[in-house]
Amino acid sequence: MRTHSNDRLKGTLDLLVLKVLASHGRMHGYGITYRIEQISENVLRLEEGSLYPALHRMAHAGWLKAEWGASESNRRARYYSITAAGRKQLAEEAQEWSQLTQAVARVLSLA
Amino acid sequence: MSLLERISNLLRRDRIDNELQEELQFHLDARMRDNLSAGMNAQAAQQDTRIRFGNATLAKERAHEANIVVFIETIGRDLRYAFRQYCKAPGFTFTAILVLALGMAASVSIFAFVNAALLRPLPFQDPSRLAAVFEDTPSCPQCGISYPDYQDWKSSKQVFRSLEIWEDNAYLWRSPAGAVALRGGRVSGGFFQTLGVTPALGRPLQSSRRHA
Repeated sequence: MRTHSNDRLKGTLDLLVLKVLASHGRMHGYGITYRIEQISENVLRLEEGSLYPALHRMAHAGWLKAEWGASESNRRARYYSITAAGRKQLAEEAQEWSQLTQAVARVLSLA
Repeated sequence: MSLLERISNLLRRDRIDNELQEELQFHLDARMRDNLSAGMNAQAAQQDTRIRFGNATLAKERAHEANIVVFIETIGRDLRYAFRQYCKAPGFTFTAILVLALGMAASVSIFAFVNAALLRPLPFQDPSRLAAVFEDTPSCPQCGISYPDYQDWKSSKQVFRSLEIWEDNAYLWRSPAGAVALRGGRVSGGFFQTLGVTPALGRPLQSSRRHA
């Protein structure tokens, strides 16, 4: 199966990050990347650098909380966790996503 | 993120840059470590890390833009929010404005006084060489002096080039409409010359016209 790069993921990055943080609690950027790739069985491959502007933007929007902490290897790492506002945003975006995919699926099967 | 934190972020770009750099470096190092432990050789691990990460400079710039754009947007939002809160609590707003106004008025008047009394020089010729002289006794600190004492002090001429006296008093003036209380003063003959000013009305006194 070929991997999908950012182009096709545009607009869904926020959704994926919010979902991962909602299920796994506090994570650093690398952990989020790792988890998304692992769960999608490497089909969704992020351009990893582009994750960070998104994380900063969402932190400013109040969806994520960012703080420095010690990593597994005891290095200083920036950790993100989801806020109540972030969970609300996640619910909205997840609903939009499923509406969109259902609509596309209907067109593909019925048109 | 608090307003204070946002302002300090804006002002200390180098600190943000360092933190962002550290955050990105952590990611690169973690990817490198995982690549090596997956059995890649050093060169392949490095190349894979770079390709996966994409344009690091662009990522940094974008992250920075996110910080600044959000700051500008939220300042406007914070101001509107503050305004709405004030409208909701007119009593509090009125009190706050009143306290601020009184505070400013008090500061301005105190400054006006200090400026006139202490900062601005006296409106006389050579104000730095003017001094007020008093007689000081235990029963009467900073007392006025008697006329004979004045004459003695003036004739000694050891300290001051000239020494003049003045007195502040209230007078009754018999006006066509009846007696009117006036505040006035008496000064010695060289008073105006010593201060280096001329009276607003009339002629300056001449020392020769002084009567003992």
